Amino acid sequence: MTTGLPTKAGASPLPRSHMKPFSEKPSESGTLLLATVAAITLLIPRFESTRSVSLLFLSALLSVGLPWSIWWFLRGDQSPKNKLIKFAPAIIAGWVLWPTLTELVARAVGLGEAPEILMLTTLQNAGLITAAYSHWRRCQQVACLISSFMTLYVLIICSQPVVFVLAGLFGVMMLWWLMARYWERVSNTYASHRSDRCLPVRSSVLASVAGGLLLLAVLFGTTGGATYVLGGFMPTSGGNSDSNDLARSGVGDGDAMVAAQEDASSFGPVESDLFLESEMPSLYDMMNETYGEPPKPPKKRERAKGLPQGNMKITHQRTAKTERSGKELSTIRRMVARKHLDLKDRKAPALLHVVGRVPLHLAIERYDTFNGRDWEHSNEKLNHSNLSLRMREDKPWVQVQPAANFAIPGGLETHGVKIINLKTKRVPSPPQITAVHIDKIDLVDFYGWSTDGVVEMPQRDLIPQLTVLYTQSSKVNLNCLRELDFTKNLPVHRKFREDQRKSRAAIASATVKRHLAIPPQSQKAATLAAEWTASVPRGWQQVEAIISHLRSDFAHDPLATAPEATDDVVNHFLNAGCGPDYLFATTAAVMLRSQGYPTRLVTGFYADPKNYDRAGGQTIVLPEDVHVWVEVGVGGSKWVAVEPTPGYEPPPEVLTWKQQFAQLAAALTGWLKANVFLLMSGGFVLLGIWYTRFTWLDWGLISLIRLWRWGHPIHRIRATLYMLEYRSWLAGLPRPSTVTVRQWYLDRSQGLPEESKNQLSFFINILERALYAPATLKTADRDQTAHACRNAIQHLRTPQLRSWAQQGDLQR
Amino acid sequence: MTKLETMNSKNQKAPSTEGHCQYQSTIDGLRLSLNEALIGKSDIVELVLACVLSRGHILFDDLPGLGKTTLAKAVARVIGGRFARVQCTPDLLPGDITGFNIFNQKSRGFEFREGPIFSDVLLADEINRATPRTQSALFEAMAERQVTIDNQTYPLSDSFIVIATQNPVESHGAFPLPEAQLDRFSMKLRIGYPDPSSELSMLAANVGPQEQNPTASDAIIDPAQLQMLQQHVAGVGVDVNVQRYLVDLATATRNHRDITLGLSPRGLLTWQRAAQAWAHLQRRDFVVPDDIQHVAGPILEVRLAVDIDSGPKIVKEILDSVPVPVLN
Repeated sequence: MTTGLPTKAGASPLPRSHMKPFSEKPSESGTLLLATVAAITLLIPRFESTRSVSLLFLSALLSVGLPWSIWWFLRGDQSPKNKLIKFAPAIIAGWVLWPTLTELVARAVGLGEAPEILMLTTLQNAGLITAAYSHWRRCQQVACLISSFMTLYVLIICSQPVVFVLAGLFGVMMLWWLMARYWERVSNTYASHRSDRCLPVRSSVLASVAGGLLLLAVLFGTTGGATYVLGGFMPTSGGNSDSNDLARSGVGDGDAMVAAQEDASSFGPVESDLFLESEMPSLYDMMNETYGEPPKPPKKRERAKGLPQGNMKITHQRTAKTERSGKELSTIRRMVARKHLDLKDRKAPALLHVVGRVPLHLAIERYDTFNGRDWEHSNEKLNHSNLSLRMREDKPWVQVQPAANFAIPGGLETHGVKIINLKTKRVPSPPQITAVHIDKIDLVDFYGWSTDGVVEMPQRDLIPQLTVLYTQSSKVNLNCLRELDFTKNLPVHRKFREDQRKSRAAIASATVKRHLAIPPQSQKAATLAAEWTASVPRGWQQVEAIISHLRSDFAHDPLATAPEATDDVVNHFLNAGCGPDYLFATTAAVMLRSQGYPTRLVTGFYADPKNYDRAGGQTIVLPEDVHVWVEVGVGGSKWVAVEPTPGYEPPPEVLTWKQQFAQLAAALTGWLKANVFLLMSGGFVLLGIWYTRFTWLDWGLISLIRLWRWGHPIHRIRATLYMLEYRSWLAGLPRPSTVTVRQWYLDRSQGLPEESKNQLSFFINILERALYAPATLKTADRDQTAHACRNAIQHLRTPQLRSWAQQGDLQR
Repeated sequence: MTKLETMNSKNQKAPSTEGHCQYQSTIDGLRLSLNEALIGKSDIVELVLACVLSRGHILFDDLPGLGKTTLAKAVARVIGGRFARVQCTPDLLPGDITGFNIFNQKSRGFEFREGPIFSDVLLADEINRATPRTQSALFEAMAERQVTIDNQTYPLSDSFIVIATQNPVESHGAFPLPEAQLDRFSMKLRIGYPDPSSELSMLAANVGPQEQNPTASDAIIDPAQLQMLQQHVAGVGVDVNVQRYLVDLATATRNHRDITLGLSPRGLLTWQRAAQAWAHLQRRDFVVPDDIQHVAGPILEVRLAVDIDSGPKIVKEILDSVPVPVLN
């Protein structure tokens, strides 16, 4: 507000913004609003592909904020002297080029956006900045055209539902804008003609857009041909064999990918028919076999990949096991000093890509027998139900386990798993897996259960590289288990009758028996577990008690392996207080077994949310994500994963909305109870502040004004007037804009004592000089103005003004 | 209290020059003298002073016997110079005001006989009773301060002021002033009835020996001094924001639905000058929006073709439609 104020005496005052009586037009702000909605629409595809969300929001805020502030400053003063108008072409051109310039910087630091997004951002800025100058009618047209084009374009390239909503909103606003413009034109024919300044607006905007495009072409096009340049603007089918890191979608997703022919957004080559022609060992070879053709001997193209030293042992053993099931997992391992990792070495090959919710535990193998040193599987088969085929949306899904009669409610979820460098015939499966799907595999006998209870492809050696598997699994709502001793009364779906429940329980008890055996030397663990669970009712709460003790009292240390001479690793772990994840899992399993809860050890992968790749929308599973955890049996064939190792997130628990509400309410009441004194005292303080708010606000304002003490007196006077106006507003007695300061305040101060009135009128004299003849106010008058301002602040307090306002109400 | 007084006097001195102070005492003398002539109408006297200082012509428009002529005569008296009076009737001819050439038998040639218009203050009483032809004779004189007779142009006095009176009630044999001529007046003032206490003191003053006719010795200032005063008033500062406020107000008059003829640019100039004079009378050397609002009534009512009764209402509507420039 003080920007236009000349500080030197005699300087010609800049034209200050000043409300014109008939200059406010809805189509002017409406144009900017339209451009803003278009910019918000563009934000959706930008958000989808951005590498830094905070930077994106910052730049979006800036892109919208600057035009709005220009519009705000132009609202009052549209004279050609205004610098914003004088330099309008430069401002417009600069703002249109701004995204390109920032993009260069962003790319230099490894950020940046796709070329088509950059182009749209340039358009967005052009639309916004022309909309800011929408008091020129030609600017309105240009801005509106650009915004509409942008919205349509975004509608084409982005399929998020929210884009459709925004585009609809844009359409509605556009209609309103057109109506406003029409009526303005009608009323303009009667009102006096307002001449627009003739500026080359349209040509300057077009020229700067063209200039930006030319700059892009020169920058990116100097090294290649014209197709290369054009390839940057439009997503192509990959014909130029070029891949761009910043590309949002389409082909060129990396060297490991094969260009799709049917569907550009296919997740892996299995979904594309090109795969059929490749030399890789394929599931479709097997299909051919089924239909009578002689099988081609698969040519293995995979090479053994060197894994980082630290994980080599585990990974190697485990992957070796996947081919020969039923071998042991030793919990006694040699400690391997980790090699110092160079940046280059960290380029570990991904084993899997996971699409869907993470963190996710992907099981590869399970063990049921533990002798104190080694885990192995007893080779006794669990009784699984028969596999069946179901078509869902024309896709074959193999149901490996009935989902409907799973006793624990919780709903289903789907994950996509792409096998990259994992050599296994087992399906990396989430806990409680119910169904598996690979595109076009509609044979049930393709899948089966391994003896240790993992879904596998029994007739194959390996699942081929780049196969995309989809798994469906039930989520778990543990609340029904918490109150129930599920080792005695199994939770069974209500559709089974009482006698069936009993028989199922009998079968189950036979099945789980081997999952309850603990090595004889593990008595210490048993006593400790009994101690931890002593005050907890039987059921899932005891399981949680043991797990939470382990998670909180012990430290995860991958190097703290057990010595080779130990015959009971659990004892060693309990004494040491730290260890790698397989010791955590072993201890948890043994302790739970000692309390009568059937458990089994699971090895597999932990899909870490930290490895989520935003651009690809998938999580990368690396060799170092190998993990060991425990599953607790809650019925014959139902196993619930628990996570005993600190640092790994436990599998999420699904809550019904009632449970969520209860949980929230309990947390809230608990917090309220804990902080009752704080809350009450805070409430009283707030109440006190509310009742004395005018005093506080006054105090704050006065301290603000004190800051102006040393400047030119004019600033002080203006600040004082600001304060008086603000106080009157607070008091409900705001000065109408058409009444002068003198009339308003002096008329109301009639009831004041004579001295106060004189002081007030003295202040208003000085104020008028400061406002309407600022050049005649000398710095030398500082003391005098300071005195006057102080008096005015003293005499026109908010309570005083309030009392005037109330008197005025009474008179009315 | 003493501190405050010093502060106040300081404030009045600080922005003023020595000359300003000297002019103020002259103005105080004028004010006092006029207030003695017309008792209890200090607000009207103030506007008359503003009009004189802004070199504008005044039109008194009111019922008979309210002191129009008294005040006009008093103005003429206090500012000194030559005073002339024309009583307008339907048979008054233009030559009766401007003067005419007569044939001199001795010199055997025409010589110019000056009319009453060759004075410093011309009082045109009951101007709406003169014929339009005669009224138009005043046009050139009022706007350009010169008259042309038989192709010969004669300049008028530099401090030439027309004070006209008219009676709105008598319509028989009256010719309403044309708009073009109304725009040449600076203000239209309505005196109105005095309040009872003023009437009492007026009665008391009228008992006893009566005053003689005004003479030149009663003048407070001479035309040269008046010109200097007028020059000084023209130098009162007007901020660009205040000028913009004036322009906005003018635009508002042109867009008002009840006004057929909006404010002319000449009217706008008159308004600014009147506001300058008003600011000067308030002992200020710059114009504030209050000044503009104060003189808005008499300035607008004379030149916006509106009913006599709806005038104040429309002026208020216009002032209420334009925001005052304050902190922006």
